[in-house]
Amino acid sequence: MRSVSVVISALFLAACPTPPDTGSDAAQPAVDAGGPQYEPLSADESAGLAAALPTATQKTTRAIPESLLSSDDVALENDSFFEILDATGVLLGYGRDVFTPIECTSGACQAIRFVLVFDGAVEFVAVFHPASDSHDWKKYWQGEYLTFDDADRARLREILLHPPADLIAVTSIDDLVTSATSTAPTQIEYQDDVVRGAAFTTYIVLQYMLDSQQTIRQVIA
Amino acid sequence: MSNRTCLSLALTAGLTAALVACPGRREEPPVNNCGNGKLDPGEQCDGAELDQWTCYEAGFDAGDMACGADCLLDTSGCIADPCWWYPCAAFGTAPSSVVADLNFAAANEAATELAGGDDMLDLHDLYVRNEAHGGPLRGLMMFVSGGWCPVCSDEAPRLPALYEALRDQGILIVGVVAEDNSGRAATPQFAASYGERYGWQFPVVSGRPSMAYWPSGDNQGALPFHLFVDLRDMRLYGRLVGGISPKLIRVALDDLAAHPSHDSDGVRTIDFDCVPGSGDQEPNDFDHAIDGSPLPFDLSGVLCPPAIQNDILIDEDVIDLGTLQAGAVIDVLMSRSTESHTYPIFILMRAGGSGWYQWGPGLLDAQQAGRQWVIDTTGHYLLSVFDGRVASGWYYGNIGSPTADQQCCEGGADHTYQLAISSFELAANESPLVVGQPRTGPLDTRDLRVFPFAASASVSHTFELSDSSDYLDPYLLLYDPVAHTVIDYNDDIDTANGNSNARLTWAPTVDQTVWVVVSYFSLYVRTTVPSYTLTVN
Repeated sequence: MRSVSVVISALFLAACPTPPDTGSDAAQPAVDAGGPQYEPLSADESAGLAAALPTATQKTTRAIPESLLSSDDVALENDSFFEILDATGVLLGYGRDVFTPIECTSGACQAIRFVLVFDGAVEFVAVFHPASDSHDWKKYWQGEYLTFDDADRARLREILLHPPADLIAVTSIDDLVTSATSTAPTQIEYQDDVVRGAAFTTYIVLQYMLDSQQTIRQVIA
Repeated sequence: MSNRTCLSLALTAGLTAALVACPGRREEPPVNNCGNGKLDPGEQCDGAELDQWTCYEAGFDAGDMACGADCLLDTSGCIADPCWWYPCAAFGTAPSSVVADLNFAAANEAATELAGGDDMLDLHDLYVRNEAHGGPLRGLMMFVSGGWCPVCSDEAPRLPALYEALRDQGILIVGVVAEDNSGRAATPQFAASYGERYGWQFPVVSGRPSMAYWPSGDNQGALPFHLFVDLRDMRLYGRLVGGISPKLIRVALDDLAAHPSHDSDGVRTIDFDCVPGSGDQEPNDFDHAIDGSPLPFDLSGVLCPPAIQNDILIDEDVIDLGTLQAGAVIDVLMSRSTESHTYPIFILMRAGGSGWYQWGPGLLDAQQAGRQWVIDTTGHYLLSVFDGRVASGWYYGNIGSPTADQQCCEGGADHTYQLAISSFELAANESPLVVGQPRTGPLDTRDLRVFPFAASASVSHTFELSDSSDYLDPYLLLYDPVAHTVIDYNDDIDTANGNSNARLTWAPTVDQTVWVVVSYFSLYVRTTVPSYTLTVN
């Protein structure tokens, strides 16, 4: 029953986007060089937003003040978010493109890229991996690394829509697994909170979702 | 017909045709002005003036074009060998195979110098500088890194000193910068600045080898990545993912400089064995020493901690168990003293069975680890023993990565271990199995659970073994306690579709009591005891 209501609310958000923030000039078409610079969505972004914000066609990038960023995000250039608009310039929501190492605990570093999507009220609605980027999401399963399948992606979105309290409370990524390697099994108490075989990815994307939500709200306030 | 046109025809059609097409060439040698260093009518060349002819343009594969005393081109220094530039072989990405002629964008002066004018550093640019081609090069390590990668940044500043120490041995390091700070493909400009940041004087390029060069299934695409190539024959000498002490890299590169890879018929394992603190070779090398000897063995040895995981730089002691008959039962216990840092891990391998192995201990226990096996197939078996401290995706342990002074048995750390391998009598240690009544329990270290089951003639029974945690790859075996033979065994119900539980169906021809042996093929090494569920229907 709970999952049904989730689906309905997500559809509602997609069909009835929140009115644009009138405090922002993002809804106005660009007419002079001093205003926001609008650009069409990339093919990856269009594909990634198709389900959550189907009328999205353009975006404008906004910088995140350095005071709101971690030093890692400065180094990794995760220093902006973008407003998502339809063809008429109506604000539909916000997106943040994030690139981050996922773990280096075993001495080898893997990274992932993902785009977090929020509606006009900065509520999380979707997350996607830009298809042309090589830093896809992986899980460790049956002795090998596998790319997320559709069910894994849906599970990740579900977790972000309803973040488990005990997962939010985790303070160290190492607490999620039984030993400090990328192939270590997830602790039993967290197995239902994460995408199976992808505890690190789930945790990091969740942390970025919560952080981005707060950051965007601060910037647009 | 110009000189060049005539010669082009000559070189295309062959010497005889050339003489026909350019009949005046020999009859009227350009003797009058020959030797003045200038190209005069009737001359193909004059001294160093070659009219821009090269061996390659003349249809050869390589070599040095010269001018004869008669002002005719002298091709005696040219080489007609299509394999001169690069080995003619099927390329591959596995260790010991010939690597493809990879190319990267040159990003600093050292790379541009080697690139030969096209700003692309190709592997053939290095091959033609190996010893067989009159150059100094013997081996190559490509260090593949990214601006975002913190472990890369730890290792990168250590490479200049390593290069200085090894370059006189013919070892070249190439810094391959694959990605920038935000994970996008690095430009040559970014690669150059990255190299400058870490003081890299060796060639720096941007680009990345294909994902196929990473060991499959193990952190594919992860950084840093080290690719070792024997420049004598362009065979892949080894590869490793993850950060590593330059000291260990040096061991590999020293070996690469000293020994052509064609001396090895396959994947090479570098032996770090030594007496702790002395640097001497380990006195007890077991390889092939005990084949055919009866069990038990009581051994002690020395292991260096692993720092990387694939193909090279693993210190493993391989104990040849000789031929073991199906139905034989062995018990292996590996332990260490409290002074030793070695973390006991071992696997059972079938010789010649590519990829076949069964994990040894399933539980993390720094002090000792054990396992019992029922041998299901007669064959030649090896036991591989190594130090399981966490330092890579392959190894497990809870006592942390070895510090630099613990590596390679330097610094006085103790790396000894003891190993006992013995046969034992398999015995039922559970109450009888009953149809329709599932049995559950833990699989502890050195644990085979043996259930008697009374089967009726011609009645088919299906035994199924599952695990409740997905940590275990259950393995089920039916054993005849009278004949001491294996009736049947199963590892996976459906490997292709990821069902790693085990299932056996069996119908005896006569009333018979069998033993159902619960075990595992492999598993995630972990700190808590995995559990199983066994059913018979």
